[in-house]
Amino acid sequence: MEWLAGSSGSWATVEVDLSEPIEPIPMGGANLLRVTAFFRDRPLGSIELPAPLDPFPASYLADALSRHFGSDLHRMLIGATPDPEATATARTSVVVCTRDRQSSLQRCLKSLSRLDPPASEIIVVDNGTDPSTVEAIVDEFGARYVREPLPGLDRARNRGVSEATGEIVLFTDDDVEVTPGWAGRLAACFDDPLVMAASGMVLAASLDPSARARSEMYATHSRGVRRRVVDGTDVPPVVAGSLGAGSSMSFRTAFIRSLGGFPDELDAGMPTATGGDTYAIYRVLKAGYRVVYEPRAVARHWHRDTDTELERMVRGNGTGLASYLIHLGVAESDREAKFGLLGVSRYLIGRAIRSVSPKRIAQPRLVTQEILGALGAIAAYRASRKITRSRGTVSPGIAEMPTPWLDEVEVSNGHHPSSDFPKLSVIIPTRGRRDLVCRLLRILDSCTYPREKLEVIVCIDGDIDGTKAGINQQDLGLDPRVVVLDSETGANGPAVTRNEGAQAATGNILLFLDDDLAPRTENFLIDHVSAHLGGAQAVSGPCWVDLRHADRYLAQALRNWWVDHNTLLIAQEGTSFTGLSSGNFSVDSEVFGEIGGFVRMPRREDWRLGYDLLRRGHDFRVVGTAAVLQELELDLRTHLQDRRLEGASDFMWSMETPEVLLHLPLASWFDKKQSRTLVRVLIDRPALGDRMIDLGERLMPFLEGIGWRRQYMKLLQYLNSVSYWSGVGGACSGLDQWLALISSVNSLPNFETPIAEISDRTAWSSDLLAGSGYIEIMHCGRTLGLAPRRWGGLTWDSDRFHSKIVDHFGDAALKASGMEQL
Amino acid sequence: MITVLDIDLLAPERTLPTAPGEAWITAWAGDQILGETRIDGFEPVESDLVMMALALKYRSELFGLRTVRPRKEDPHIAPGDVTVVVCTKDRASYLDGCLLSLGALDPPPGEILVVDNASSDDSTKKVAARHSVRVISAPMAGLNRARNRGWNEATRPVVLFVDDDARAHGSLIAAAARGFTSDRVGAVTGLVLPAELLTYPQLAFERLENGMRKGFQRKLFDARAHPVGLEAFRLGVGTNMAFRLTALRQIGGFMEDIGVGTPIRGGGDLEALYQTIQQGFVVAYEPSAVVRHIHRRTRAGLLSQMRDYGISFNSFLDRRASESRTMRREVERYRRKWHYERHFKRSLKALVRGELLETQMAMAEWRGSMEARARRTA
Repeated sequence: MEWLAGSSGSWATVEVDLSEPIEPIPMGGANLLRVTAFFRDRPLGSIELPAPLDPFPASYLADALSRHFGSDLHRMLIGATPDPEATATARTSVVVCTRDRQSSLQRCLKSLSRLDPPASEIIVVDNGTDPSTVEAIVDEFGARYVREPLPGLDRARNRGVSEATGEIVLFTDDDVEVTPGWAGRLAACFDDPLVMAASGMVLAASLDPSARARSEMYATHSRGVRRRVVDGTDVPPVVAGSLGAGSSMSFRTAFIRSLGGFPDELDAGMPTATGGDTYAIYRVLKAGYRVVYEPRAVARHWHRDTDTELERMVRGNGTGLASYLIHLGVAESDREAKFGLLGVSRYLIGRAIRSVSPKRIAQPRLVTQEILGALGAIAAYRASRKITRSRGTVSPGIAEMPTPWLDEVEVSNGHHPSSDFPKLSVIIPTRGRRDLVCRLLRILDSCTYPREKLEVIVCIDGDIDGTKAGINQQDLGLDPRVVVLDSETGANGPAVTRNEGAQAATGNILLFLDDDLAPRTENFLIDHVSAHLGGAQAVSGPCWVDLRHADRYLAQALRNWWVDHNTLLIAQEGTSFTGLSSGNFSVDSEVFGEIGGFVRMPRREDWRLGYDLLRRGHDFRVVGTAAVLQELELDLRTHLQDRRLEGASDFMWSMETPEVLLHLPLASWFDKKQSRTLVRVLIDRPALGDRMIDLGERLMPFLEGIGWRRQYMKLLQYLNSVSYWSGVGGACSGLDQWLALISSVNSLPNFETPIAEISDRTAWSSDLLAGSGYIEIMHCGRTLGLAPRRWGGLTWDSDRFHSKIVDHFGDAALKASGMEQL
Repeated sequence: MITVLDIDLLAPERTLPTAPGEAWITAWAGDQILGETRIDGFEPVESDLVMMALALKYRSELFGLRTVRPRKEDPHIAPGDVTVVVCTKDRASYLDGCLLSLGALDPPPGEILVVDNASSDDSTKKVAARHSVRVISAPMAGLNRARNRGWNEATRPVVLFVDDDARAHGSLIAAAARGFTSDRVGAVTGLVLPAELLTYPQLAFERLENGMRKGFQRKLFDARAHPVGLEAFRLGVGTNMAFRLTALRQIGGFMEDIGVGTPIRGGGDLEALYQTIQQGFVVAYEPSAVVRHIHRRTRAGLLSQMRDYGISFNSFLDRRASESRTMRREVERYRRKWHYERHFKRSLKALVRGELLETQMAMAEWRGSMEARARRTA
């Protein structure tokens, strides 16, 4: 790029698809060329070239592109999975806010009319002074016209949201042109129920005249070519600005409504100039939800074409950035706003230094404007507040926070394959939770199922709080039988309690339901039974959580974990026994008898039952519609105690059947990357784990208090594994026993590492029981390395697992295929 | 001894020759150059290993070439439209090797002309006759006179100048012709690699001076989009350059009062390429057009070459300075930078490193520039 320093002239821009032959580029009098390379619809990046020839010869362009993007292309095409088509079925509303820019609005609407798949509705909010002309243009393109007379971009956006009927609202500006796939690509990002916002890549539509080129060089709208999914639990929310800009972004409509809309004080039309878009993304991250940056959703922005306007825009950027942070401090009392302001000053000082350095990366005049803008932010924010206070706000229709993971999962149609209902026994094990049991019984009472074919058995493991009396007081249509086990200490545990319940049951199908659950639909029982009639011997349903207002970090982390877990479970075809959850689980009573019921263990009795089922060749299914809502205990100590019990149970189970070890978290012992020292110490001295947990527990509220999300999550992960391994240590008599177990696993006859070719996606089928916990990854006849079979909670037949493998082994694969070239 | 070698990765020879010491391997994909790798010596049995290492190193380039394909464009200049002109003076043995390599060109050029520049005997004519190549004689000594004589006799629209101490790579003509992608391209320059690295001065010229290399990327230079300023040497070297006849006519050919054989011993190529750009043409640098050059074998030869560089570049700067007042100021600024970087700083650094030859080279260049200056003031 050194050549750019001495060159002069005008720019042409072009987008090139490398999968097609490269054509000569007509330059139209320009002599500098910016090429943005795509492979099909995937952007690879941009390069700048001196292009003194008109037309610019294809051979030069191809040469430059192949040298620059050769390795990117290669990496991408190794193990490339065909992209699933954007099949989002959600209704999308596009909102375009405009102010006195008729000709560019026309261009924008024209591009929106070519969307494929089309948007459900296009709303133009006119914030300008000439309503009749705009209305005529809007009518021409069949969009909806909404008028917002008071100035303010965020106000106009709120007006747009209040009119929107789609589940997803997409924002773009009137000086933007979108590509046909734009809306579909953005909408597809919302398939993940935790995603609340998605933004797209914005390229410069033109770099001519040179003010536009300067604008692109100084403040590009693009945020790179890598797709990013950013989880709010993982980053400080102040970074929102790096994730997208208002010229191409989208939100779940209900989320924006739950915020009460965009803040009136920020963004264009106000003295603060920008910042409203960043603020909305900030709110998504703060609530622990996800934001996707999708570079394949491409839009083109027409930058300002005069230097005066450019300077005003840059000044506005400075004001907006600082105002956004001031707003965080004022409206959210977020302590990180201070750090954010420090960051902004550092960034501006850095830019100022670079602008006077010999390389002249930034332009001094623009930097000055940006600094002046930032300095004026306090005054601007005050002025904005004054204006907004003097007038009312536009409400986008305030709504409850959405729970897309509940709203968008498949809802049962209550279809039942035959009129002949088998007899169903619902077994509810409980201890000391009278109110919860009564609630569950009331919900079951409202479920559809022939009463004569339904029996409910409440199995109380020591009636310590008068549960039996409480149940008898209930006025219910169904008649629950109550079995009380004689236990003061609760020593029986859930496994024995469930088995006792099953003993008392007379039905053909046994449905085990935990007492803290609430079935989501009245067809819940029918869904379980119809899966049995469809041939499954065992059926498990997802346990969802309703933690939409999770402010606390622990709640956010648990919510995201459960939602991911369930989403994956439902999407997967074959399910391993680790997908079984005994809280919401039904089984054929004969099969249950054949297996011999639940084995008494502190935890994992569910997985163990699933394992026995699968080993005997029974069919086990996860049915998404048979869903329940569960109450989570949001207590760190309980959470860690669970991990500890899991560790102990896993160890005891592995001692009996060593081959399961490889499918349990215990297999992380084999992970070459993990340090085994900590595990050794914890197994040897489990008491040390207790001290570490105590310390950690005291540290965590402090971290939450000062807002260190990422450190909090890391510590949580660390404590999880410490509790797990100290649980293992507690159950195990010493390190020798553990090492003996490991060596017996190593000598298992089926300890054969399966081999998979990285570029052959079809070879990645699921294999439930056999083999080791690792897969050997190959390419071109060379071994690239070992991958754990469950990686980050993904099982190895999923597409996400595969893309993770490609990310991780891509470089090694490139090397291997370099050798194959000969 | 260092072996220099060309290897085509798409049609690999399965057995390589023995390389006793270091080997400098130029990797090709068909007729496209990929780059150069310097590796330790190897035996023929290690051929596979060497090929593997090369494929590994150039994997992205190979993959890029395979995936990104340009739409076929009609060539502006066919190989048959090229005249090759070799100017020579009393170096029959060098000329023999040069003509041998020109005879093996595939595709061949339209014609080959040897310009006999006031040779003292008829050995040049004999060699040319043995290769059945047409000889024109230029009785007045001076490389640029010979070059002008050569292009005036040429019958094809493009003239490619090759020195007698250069060896053409097989695809030279094809690559040079490919460089003329438009009527605006006035000249195409190519890459010059060493033909042999037998003596220390030859190696020093490559290692310390970077030889005559201008990189492995195709470049387009013109006065606005990609200007070179006063650094005309970035455009290419006279050992391997091709001009359109129209461009040569427009710039009035090569300056006859400079260049080898005159008091200002060189710089004719620099001036011609610079003028081509000034006249609104584009100069294309085509790294796949490769010529291998036999560098000076002796220390004295190397130092005198550096001195000639000093003289000729200084005179180039003088000519620019006389153009206008603003140019004069710019030239003075550049000249100060040139002396500081290339002579003062470089010779000191070399001294610290103990690289005596480099210090001598820098000083030789400086002496040359001072000599030219003294001559001008006189």
